[in-house]
Amino acid sequence: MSKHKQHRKHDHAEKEDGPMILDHAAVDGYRPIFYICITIGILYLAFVFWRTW
Amino acid sequence: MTINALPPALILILGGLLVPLLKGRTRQAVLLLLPVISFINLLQIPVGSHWVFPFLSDQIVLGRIDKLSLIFGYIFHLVAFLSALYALHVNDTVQNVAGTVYAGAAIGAVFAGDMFTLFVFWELLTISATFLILARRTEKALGAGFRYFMVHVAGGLCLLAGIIIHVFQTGSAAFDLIGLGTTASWFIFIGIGVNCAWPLLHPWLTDAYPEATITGTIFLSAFTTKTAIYALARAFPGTEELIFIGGAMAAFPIFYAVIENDLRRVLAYSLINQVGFMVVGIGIGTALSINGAVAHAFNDLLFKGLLFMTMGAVMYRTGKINATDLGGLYKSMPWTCAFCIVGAASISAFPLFSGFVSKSMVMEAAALGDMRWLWFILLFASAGVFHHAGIKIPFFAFFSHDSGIRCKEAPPHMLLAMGISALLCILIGCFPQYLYSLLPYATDYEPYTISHVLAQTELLFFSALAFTLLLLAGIYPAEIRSLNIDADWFYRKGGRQVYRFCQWAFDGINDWANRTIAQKMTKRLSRFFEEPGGNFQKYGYRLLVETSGIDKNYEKMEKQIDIRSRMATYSVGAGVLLAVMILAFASLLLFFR
Repeated sequence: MSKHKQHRKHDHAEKEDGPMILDHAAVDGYRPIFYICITIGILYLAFVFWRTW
Repeated sequence: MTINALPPALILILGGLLVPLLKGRTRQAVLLLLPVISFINLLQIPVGSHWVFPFLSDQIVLGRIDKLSLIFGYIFHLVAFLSALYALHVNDTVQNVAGTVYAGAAIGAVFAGDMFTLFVFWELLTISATFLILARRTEKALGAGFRYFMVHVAGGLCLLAGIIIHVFQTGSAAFDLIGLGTTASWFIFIGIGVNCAWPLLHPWLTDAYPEATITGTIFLSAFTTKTAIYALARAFPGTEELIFIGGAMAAFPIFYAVIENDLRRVLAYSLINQVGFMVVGIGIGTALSINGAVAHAFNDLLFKGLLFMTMGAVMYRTGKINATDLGGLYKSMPWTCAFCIVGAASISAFPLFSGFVSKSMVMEAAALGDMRWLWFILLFASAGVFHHAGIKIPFFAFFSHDSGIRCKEAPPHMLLAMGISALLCILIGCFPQYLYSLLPYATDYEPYTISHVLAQTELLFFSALAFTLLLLAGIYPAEIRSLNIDADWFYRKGGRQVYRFCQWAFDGINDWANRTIAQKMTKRLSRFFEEPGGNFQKYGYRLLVETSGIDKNYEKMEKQIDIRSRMATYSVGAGVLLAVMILAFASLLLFFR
């Protein structure tokens, strides 16, 4: 098989035949934890800026 | 002084061009040996300017050896060797030649002592890199390669224009500190900026690198941008504009890298982000910051190359590179997975990994310069890079959901190249003093202070926590196979508008020229030259009649002139008049010649 054909074959193998979307389903109970952590993080950052800026 | 060595770029470029004459294992051996021989050759060259030849009214210098060029020379040789090792299975003459010449061109550029030599190697980089992209031989690669070539030729022309103006104004072609201020310097600055992938000039990088061959991308990720970093460090250290440009470079790619599905494109955005740190370091312009920029370029070549190698190995084995298609590969490719994690830890600047000992130099320089906003941007960029390169790349390729793909581990030579890179990332992280001894300025910088280790660890762990919580809370954006609009939008839309304008303007002129000159004028000229003598008389007579106001036998006279002209029967007086008119016309033509 010529090199060019080999490349074409490889190219064919690379055709996008997988899923269009890979979404990330939420696990129950983690959303409130996320919001709590984000709030604490922002407050901590604000405190650090206030003390150091 | 007599030197028993060759100009630094010569071995790789000439050797690369001779590669097509070799086959099989001999070719593989030569491809591996060329960087080694070139490196040994480099070690024989003492510090100073060598191979100086007169050129026009100035001189060209093929080998300017100093600490700045040497550190880039060393790492370029190392990466050329690792890339050749990684690409050992490739039996494609185009890739073999282009990869070796590309490495040689980069080495030639960093050792160039004058701007003309720099320009020649700069353009050789473009040409050889284009072949590395085209060598994939797909429609997308063809388009990306063509766009890459056009952008870099435009950048090269900008650089050349700057060089010519600079040489004309200063009378020197030496490639040293230029600094911004003159028109020439701006041209050179922007010409280098194109290769450096500055914001809005960057789409060529994220367009072309993921479309190149698996092994071609390893070469590409190493040389073009780092050569530009070298050029900036040489010609524009301490240029304030670079701080803003670098800050933007460090920050904006993070957003694109988060939503990008193609993992090699994620790394391409990450490359811009890391180059941003280097640009900032050069812009700050202190000894610490320039050392930091150079050290980070050195480390980036290793860890970014390593990450591209691991993704290349995944692509080589699975034929896929999208996050949507991959996942769960840690069982099939455990070594590749481990090396990817080392690369991820290094780029994220984990303590004991290479990124930690260099990135912090730039951030420290920003803090010492009291640039709090810049320090904050770099901190944000550090968190971002940990997220997209440190977590996203290994997570979606090797862990995440099980894609069901079961494949073989990467070939031994690929594993060896990745293993050496990973080992170097750890060694530099643990023993940074060896790297520091190679830097352009002497330094006693100590990266492992309690505050620095704690601050960085805190940043990394909070970033990891944020990623985990975003994922578990279902807020993390889904990986979608899509085309993300970047600054290329301006090129595509703007280019179309420019094309339309040119079509309207130039086609309009063309139509007018066609109607007036090609059609009407030629028709009139041909009619005139059917009977030139008669027409001279006729139009002369008409002019006389119209200016004097006499209008008798106008048409009759013209008919008589026509008949005489065709029969060539003129009265003596008319013949003399005609002769005098032709002579007068010829004299006028000669007079206004």
